[in-house]
Amino acid sequence: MNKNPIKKPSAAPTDRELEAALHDVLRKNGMLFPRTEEDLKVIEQHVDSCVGPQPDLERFKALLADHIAGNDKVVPFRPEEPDTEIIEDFARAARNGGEIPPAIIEKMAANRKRAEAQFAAEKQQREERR
Amino acid sequence: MASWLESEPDHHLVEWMALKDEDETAAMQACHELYRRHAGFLLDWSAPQGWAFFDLGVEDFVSGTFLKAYDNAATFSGDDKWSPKDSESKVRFWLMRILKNALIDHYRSQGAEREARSVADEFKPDGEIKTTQEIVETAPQPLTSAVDLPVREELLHAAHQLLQELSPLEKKIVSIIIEFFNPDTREVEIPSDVRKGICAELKISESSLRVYRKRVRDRLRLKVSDRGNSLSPVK
Repeated sequence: MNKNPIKKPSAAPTDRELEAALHDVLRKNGMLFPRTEEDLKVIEQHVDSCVGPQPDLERFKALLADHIAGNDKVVPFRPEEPDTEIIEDFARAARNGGEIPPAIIEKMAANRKRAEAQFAAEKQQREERR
Repeated sequence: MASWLESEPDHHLVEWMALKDEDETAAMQACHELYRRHAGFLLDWSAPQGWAFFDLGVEDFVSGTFLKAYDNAATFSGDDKWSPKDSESKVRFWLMRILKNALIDHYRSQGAEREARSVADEFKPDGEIKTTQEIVETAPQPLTSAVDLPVREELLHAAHQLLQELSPLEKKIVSIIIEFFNPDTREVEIPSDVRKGICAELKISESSLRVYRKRVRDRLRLKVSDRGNSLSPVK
């Protein structure tokens, strides 16, 4: 009997195994959103109190009042509906092979200007809030 | 703060919030109390996570979470058999799911915005704008036992070590991507529009995201082989 059998090389870890390992380590360190009660317990053990910004109850009261009044000051989590008419114009112009009519170019410019002004105003508001 | 709410368990606060059509003042006060109890925890956990928030601060996400909780309080069903600690855990779990979905929705919106810009800039003839729907999962999920995946011990050590060595951007990418790891299929499953949003937030292209992800895997693989570990069988 061979007392020194050739050791079979171990298989290289697959991509799935590697990402499963990363998942496991992050989960056990409370760094992923909880999927289970145990996950939540792990997170509670790992959270350092007072490392985040202090909650501002007065500001939240104002936000909630505005929210109920339909006057949210919180930046929306998604952009407004895009102007589908303009997008269709773009697509139509491109399909027709070519030149963008001046009216559409004007629309594009006006739209961009409006979006930039809105973005600048919202950014300023956010900075002021901070 | 309304003192009569201070002794209420968390799920009762959510129930008061659900009664906003009958007693808006009480509902608002209950939401204030819920914020007072849990916002600090959510902020302390979220702040060091390193997610990309674009121009929004973590405070905005946490505040937004409580506003969504207020709107959707009626979908939470509590149980008076719960102990105060159980009540706290289940409500906190629910809030964290709302926070997670707010984050995913935010990525989706950024992806849609990038898509819109791309259509406008490149005049794609068949460009289609996908609008996103809010996906707040409001119902509390059943709290089951932990999902312990069979992962080789050597890989865990290497992964732990690698996470200490990653750059802040790499760490951010890994933590965001792995959030979408599905333990059932053992695959990272990121919806296309969310992936676009993540790239928009990180200011990298989708191909760069793939390269970063591959490089992290390669480094982890190398770390395992460098350690000369003979991998033990899967548990």
